Amino acid sequence: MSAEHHTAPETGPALRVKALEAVLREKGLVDSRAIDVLVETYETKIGPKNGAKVVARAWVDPAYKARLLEDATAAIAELGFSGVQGEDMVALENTPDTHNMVVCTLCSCYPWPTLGLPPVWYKSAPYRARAVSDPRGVLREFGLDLPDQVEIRVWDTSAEVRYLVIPERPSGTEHMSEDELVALVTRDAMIGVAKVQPPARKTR
Amino acid sequence: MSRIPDLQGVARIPLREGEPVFHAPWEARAFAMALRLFEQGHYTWQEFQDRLIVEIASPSASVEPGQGSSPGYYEHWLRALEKLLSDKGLVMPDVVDVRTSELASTPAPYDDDESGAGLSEPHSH
Repeated sequence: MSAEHHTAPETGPALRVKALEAVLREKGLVDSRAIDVLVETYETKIGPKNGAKVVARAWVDPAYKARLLEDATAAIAELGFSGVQGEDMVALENTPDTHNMVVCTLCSCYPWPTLGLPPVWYKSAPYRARAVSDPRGVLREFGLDLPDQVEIRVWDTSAEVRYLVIPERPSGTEHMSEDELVALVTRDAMIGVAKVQPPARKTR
Repeated sequence: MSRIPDLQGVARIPLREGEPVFHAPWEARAFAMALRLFEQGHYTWQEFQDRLIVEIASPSASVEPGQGSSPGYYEHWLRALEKLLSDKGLVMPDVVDVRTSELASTPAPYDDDESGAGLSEPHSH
């Protein structure tokens, strides 16, 4: 491609994607309406709220949590969440002694059905490299300073397995309903770069 | 004050609150085309992912800062998709080259009729 056109945004990938879609449509390989539906689904319907429902259910229902830890794919499907990038799920339980965090060192593998598409930082080279080499430093960058005695386990998402972190249920939430708990659970907590904050201390 | 000031060459993680899923309509189209073709059985997800990993690791895959907050990622994605479609004999790169040139020289009518909301290019930031 010519370097002379680099300044005008419309001549870059946007135009090439448009061209590719037109070619695929003419070949009968894609239907633009199907593409519209997928875009809308991933922009508005699939997101970390799904994972939050899984976590909240695990917090209030010990039998469900046991099933989740035993066979996460099946337990997550019980709540209606399944599909691409969610075929082989493993749930990782955070405890006062053990903190799990998830990375994909090679690209951007991520549990789409439960968390949606990954945030920019998850796909970034610094996170992919440093989550493994300096997880404590990375967590501090996210504002999470874990005591030295807490063991940090870093899970590198492979081609086959996707992970969902079950964060610790914060104290002071014993009276809360499952729906109220869902609202507390954040995406970052389910990747393992944050803790779930109790409602009284929420600052955002 | 939540950021560590300077970490001697250690690249900072691009944290950002409330970012959109896609930063431009073309990112969403590229994402969905790769997924749709996979769903229709034209390739396995592993085949796509292998090429995405290669693109991401490619030294020529330079990160262009300031381009939204998603520098390069969906450009890797697009290159991986095109490479895969070419490997599979589904779409040859020169066909896309030609069509891209055509679109560059003529206003594209298809935005208006064919597709739904969210497709038009952003005019302001």
